[in-house]
Amino acid sequence: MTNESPDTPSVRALAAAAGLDLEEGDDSLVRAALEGLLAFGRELLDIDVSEVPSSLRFTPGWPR
Amino acid sequence: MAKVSATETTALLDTLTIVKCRELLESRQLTSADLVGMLFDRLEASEPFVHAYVSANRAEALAAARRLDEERASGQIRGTLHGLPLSVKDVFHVQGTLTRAGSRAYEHAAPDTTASAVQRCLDAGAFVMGKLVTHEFALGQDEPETRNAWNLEHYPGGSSAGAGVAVAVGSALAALGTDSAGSVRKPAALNGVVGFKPTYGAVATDGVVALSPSLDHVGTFTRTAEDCRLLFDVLAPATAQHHAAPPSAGPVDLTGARIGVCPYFSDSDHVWPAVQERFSASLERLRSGGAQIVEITMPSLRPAVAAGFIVMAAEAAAVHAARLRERGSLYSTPTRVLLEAASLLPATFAERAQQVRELIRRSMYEAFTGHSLDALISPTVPRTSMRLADMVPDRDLAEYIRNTVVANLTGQPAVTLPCGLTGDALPVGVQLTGVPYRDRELLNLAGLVEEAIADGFQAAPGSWTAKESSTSSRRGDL
Repeated sequence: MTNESPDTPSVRALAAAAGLDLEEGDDSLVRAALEGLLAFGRELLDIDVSEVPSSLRFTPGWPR
Repeated sequence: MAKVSATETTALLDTLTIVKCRELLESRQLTSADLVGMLFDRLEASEPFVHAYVSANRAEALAAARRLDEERASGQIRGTLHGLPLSVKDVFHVQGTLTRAGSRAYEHAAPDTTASAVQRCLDAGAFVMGKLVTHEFALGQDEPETRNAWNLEHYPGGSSAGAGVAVAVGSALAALGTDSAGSVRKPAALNGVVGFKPTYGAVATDGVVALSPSLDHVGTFTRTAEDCRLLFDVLAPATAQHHAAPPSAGPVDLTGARIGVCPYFSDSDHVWPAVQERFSASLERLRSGGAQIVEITMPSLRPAVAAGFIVMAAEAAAVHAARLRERGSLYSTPTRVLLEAASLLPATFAERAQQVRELIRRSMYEAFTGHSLDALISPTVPRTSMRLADMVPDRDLAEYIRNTVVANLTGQPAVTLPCGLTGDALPVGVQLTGVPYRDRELLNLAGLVEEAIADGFQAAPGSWTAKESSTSSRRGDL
């Protein structure tokens, strides 16, 4: 997200595609917050989850 | 028996618990109306400093208290909490009382129903004396006026900020809050009170403003583990799962207790020395009391904060999608920005976070069953409360939830207990995490641990006591 080129959609355009009209001045703040969340997300991509089924939904209690 | 005098009230408020109140009410040394008078005197004296309450009405509370006093006088007792005032975080719906959820963006309607958790307390004879400050939509991004009970320049914790502070200063006897990543346990620990997050689903969340439905829990703030157990017994129906659990009440003394410690929670890269010192002292006391401290490792906990943030962000974005489109400008900027960013997260991350969450849960299951643990112990929060002027939310908030978010991901019950003060007179908490649906066993163990590591509840000292003394003497009665 940091090296935005003319071909890279802006945060505002992405938000609009998601149905959000960003407030004036929010662009850079949203970009920074998104970068923080993406960093968390990338941390998760490095983890081997092969033993866990996809489309998992949380259920309370110990694993069954 | 002689009634409690006005001059005794300050001392009494600093030691008051639900259990003690029940004794005083039953022996007619105190009426519910007296109790309301005491709590409101403290509230009025402390609020200009700590800002824990959004709303509280003395006349309405007094009227409710008098009705319950009359019932008691005629021999009619509704239940365990008869005549006791309860304060609730302003995300719980209470019929006829405005819910604000800490936000101008919330629709601010006075609901026509009451949250199930609150209703269970009302059915047991309690009444709501006020609503407490929450961070906006319980997300923790904005900065409400609430200040730490022990140092007014410091962070009160959140998002149930008002609840932790009010119980600590004595303007609430007990409180209900919500906890999606530590929002009960963190303010409880940072203000020196007991905070409990039950097993996921053990206490109903209907009638509570949602943040992240698979992480959201209703929790309690009290001054002792015994009070916590009493309140939990009111809040939690005996579900099928609770019935299925063995009837054991857990260890009857510390000699039989097996308590795990895991390096993830006390990593010196994250845990401040002053917290580590209190935690180590607590472990020593537990060992001296005969508990077996069992060292375990769970490498799968490493990404817990990342998984917690992603699950919460994805779910909160979905919860707020419509409101964000329609009333976005009414949110505070930090909350709106995070929700907007969360709305742009790739779905891959949300799915992966759920898978990592399951790995963490399996790891916990293996640790608890493999080592026959009664509980896991850790510092509740790796840090003490920081000066608000020094806090950088993007840097610091993740550290504050590092140890608490794990139990939100796994759904295990977890309770924080005060374990003393640092040299700067700031409270530190230890967290006990238990087995799903063994909440009562965990709270029984918490009572034993509390006895071993702390020398009774310590109320927050405050400059409001001088003002309160003059208020009480001027009023001249209770």
